[in-house]
Amino acid sequence: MADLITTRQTADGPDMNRRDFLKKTPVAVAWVAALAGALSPLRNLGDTISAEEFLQSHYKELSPDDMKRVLARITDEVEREYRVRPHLRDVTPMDGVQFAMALNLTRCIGCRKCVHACVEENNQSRSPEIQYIRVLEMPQGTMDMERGNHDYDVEQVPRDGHFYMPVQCQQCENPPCVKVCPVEATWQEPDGIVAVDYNWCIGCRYCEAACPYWARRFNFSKPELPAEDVNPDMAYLSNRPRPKGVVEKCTFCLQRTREGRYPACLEVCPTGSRVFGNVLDPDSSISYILKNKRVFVLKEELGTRPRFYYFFDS
Amino acid sequence: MLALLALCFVLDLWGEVEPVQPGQSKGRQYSANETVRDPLLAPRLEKIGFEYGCVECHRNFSLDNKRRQRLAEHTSIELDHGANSRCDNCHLLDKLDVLVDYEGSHIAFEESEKLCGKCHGPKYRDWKEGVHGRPNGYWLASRGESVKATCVQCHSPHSPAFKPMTPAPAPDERRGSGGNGHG
Repeated sequence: MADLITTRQTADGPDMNRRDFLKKTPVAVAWVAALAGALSPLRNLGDTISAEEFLQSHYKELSPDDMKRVLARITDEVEREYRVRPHLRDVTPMDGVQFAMALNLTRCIGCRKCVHACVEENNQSRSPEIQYIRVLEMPQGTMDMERGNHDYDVEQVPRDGHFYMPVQCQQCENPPCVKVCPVEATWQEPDGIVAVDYNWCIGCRYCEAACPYWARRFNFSKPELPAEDVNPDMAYLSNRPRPKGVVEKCTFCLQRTREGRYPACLEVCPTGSRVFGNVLDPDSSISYILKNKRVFVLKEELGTRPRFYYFFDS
Repeated sequence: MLALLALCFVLDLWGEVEPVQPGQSKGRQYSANETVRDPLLAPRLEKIGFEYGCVECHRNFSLDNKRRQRLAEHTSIELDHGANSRCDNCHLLDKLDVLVDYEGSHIAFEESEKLCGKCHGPKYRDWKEGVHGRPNGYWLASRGESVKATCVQCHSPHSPAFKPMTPAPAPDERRGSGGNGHG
């Protein structure tokens, strides 16, 4: 049988004549060239993503050794790009701690210092601007967020007839953004902080659409961060420089708060409108607020159970 | 058509995408945690290079506790503190380097919050709990101290209402963060 086939092929010669050859070869060459050309951006892949980064596992699957390697790699990358050697680490949640924040709407005057302190602390992109906190100037007599204006540009604040409501990630106990993530790149940590693994995020922006508080931001282009303005105090899950095409949000400054410090927005507030602490500690200042002030949450009817409380106080 | 496409790809006619260069630094001007005021813990007057304490003048000029005008060196003081219209509502006239307490006893300038607490009880209680005024440092006592600002670091004792201020720049709609909430 095998002999027969061989004989036939030898007898008929190759299954193509000269005309076919001349017709098909240029098409084939063009195909290959087009394919090679179209794939040519991959030649530069080494500059944007290393093989190691491409093969990196999900945050929760990284062993301590893996994490050490990842941190070393990112430290080198940051140093190469910004000429600053960051103090990058993976800050893990503390036992017996659940964070919450409360904001006194009577006291907030809408000065926006928290917005900019947050940007400086968390290495957000300066252009395009990424800001985690949105200060809404609200007409008195309504709590409808749709009526708030966040780009008020006035000589002096507060303006008569208005109150000011800073809105950021509410660190919901029942977070809609986490539910919609198709790749589990965002999840809730044991201390209540909703975190994002920037190396796992695919940039689908479902979470951004799901968030009823407009708290998530997307890096449409490569974040622009002047080297002089880099805050070298960095954590893996929070303020390390982000790549293009990922979602980010407020993390309660976990690089600070998980080491016992106050978040940046609180420390800069000139009116002392913010209170932050551990709700599991009955003697903490946040527990005092929850026990003694009439606190409320935004869009309570959605059942998101925010860990971010608002209150009015004389 | 296909050959043209191939040619375009091979010659890389679209060119490289220009990488965004880090822009001009604006500095980290909002990372400072200063309070609104820098209170005079021991009020002093500076004149032709010398510093004087209260008593150095007032041993010669006795104070009339009915006086409501602020003369000479005190014209810059704007008094707008509710019913407190006289100096001796807060200052001890016989001993001007301290503040007045009940029954002729006194409070040091360094502990002025005790004087405020005499009228503003609920606020004083909240302040002691750490929820009125802004703390700095550590929420976790085992890691470090939570530094409280005192009353006079934010409120002028003569005119205590919190003063309006110029807001920091609004988000730039053209450069992101804006729109109707997303981005």
